[in-house]
Amino acid sequence: MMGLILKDYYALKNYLLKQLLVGLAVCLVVSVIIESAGFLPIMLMLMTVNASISAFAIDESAKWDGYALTLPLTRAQIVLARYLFAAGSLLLTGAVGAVLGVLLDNIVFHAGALEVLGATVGIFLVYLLMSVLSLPVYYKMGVEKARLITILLYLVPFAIFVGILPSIDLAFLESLPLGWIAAGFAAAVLLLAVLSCLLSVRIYRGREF
Amino acid sequence: MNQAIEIKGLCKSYPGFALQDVSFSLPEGSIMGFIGENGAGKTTTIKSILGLIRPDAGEISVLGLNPASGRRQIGEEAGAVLDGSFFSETLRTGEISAVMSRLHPNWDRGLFSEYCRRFSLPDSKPAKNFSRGMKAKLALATALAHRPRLLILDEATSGLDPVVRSEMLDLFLEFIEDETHSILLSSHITSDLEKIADYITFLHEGKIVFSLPKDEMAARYGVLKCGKTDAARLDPRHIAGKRESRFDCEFLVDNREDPAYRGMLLEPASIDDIMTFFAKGGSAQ
Repeated sequence: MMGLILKDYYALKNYLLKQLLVGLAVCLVVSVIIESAGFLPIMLMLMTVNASISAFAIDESAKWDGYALTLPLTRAQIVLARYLFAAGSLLLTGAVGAVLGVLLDNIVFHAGALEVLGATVGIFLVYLLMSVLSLPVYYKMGVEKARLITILLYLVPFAIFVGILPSIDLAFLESLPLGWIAAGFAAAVLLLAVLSCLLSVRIYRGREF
Repeated sequence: MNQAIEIKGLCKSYPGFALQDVSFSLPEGSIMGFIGENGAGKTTTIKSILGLIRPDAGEISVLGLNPASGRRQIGEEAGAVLDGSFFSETLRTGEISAVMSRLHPNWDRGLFSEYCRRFSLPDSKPAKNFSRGMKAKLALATALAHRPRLLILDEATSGLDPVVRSEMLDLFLEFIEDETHSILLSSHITSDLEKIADYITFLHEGKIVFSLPKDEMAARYGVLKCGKTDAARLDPRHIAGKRESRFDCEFLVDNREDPAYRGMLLEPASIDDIMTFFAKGGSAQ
């Protein structure tokens, strides 16, 4: 499993590192202009949210899956490794972004570390949700077709926040501790991630290469 | 003799193509050349052997295991080079070794480095900067570095110059020195197969034409050149293919040693001859 994650990292490392370094410089400037340290981890994670999709595209162009299945690997391992890579790259970028954001906040804005960390964790969960929604589509349809469909899927969280939530009476949430709401959202995303992974394994088991 | 690969009645259908009742065996300790025109079904057969696709019917045994249930164990014992299917070309040799050492329990980093040195494959640049020959050697080195008992090679030497091919053929011969090792080599370069194969299996339009020891194939098939009068007297049951010109005819016959051909111009058929005659109208049994 670690070998598969390492393979994705090696395949993407040049692209990711270049993108993150340039992104970091731009985001630092923008963070200072808009006076928000939380912007930094949010944008850095946005740059890696598509890492697993890029890994799909690279695998497809190298016809990796056919080769991988000649090795002593199960189909479930191959799928799980992709999920771990997606979550891991988000987590790592989020952690680095959060540390830099907190440092920036301490030096420039003094809004408090909690604001930066809260924004990082919340957006991490949203990005993770987007990833777990899109991965089964990629397993089912391949990169080319799935790209279009996942753009629509990415609108789902947006539609929920902008279109549905304002029309629901959420007054009861105000009486709940913020920690509970965050934990509930995190649990829901993790549950969805498990279900998404199981679905992807099922799809992948049915595929021929 | 143990069989490294045994296939009985393999069938697999796609729209516009069907692999029909494919059966052959690769004995341990031998090299089998797997030939056929483009689209004959060689890759489909190889994918079935490796468990990458599910056959519609038939039985397959690879090193005594069924690919449907024992694909992982087969992966431990067999190395494969598939046409255009490998690691991303952004990886370097050292990175491939680091990945493979975590994916394969039998991976031998030292042996892989040795092959890389032997093939002059540098770790300083990614595989995308390698020549075609170097990429082929990298795929072969990766297939060999876990010390497999069986090599399955799909067009592993295609498009390579004679020098690189010769290096690879030498390696195949070294590999086969261990009598428990075997190679299934799908290739269009029939001259390579003439040099190293012990068996030839010929697939034509999804059906097996023959699967024979190479010497037996050479003894059986011949190209007969004769005039149209002599041609009319030939036994059609033994004519596997035919080419006609205005003045004479060429036949691929499958009973070359028959005394009926005495006095006629009859030459041993090369693998190329056999493939060409079948492509021009022969039919698989």
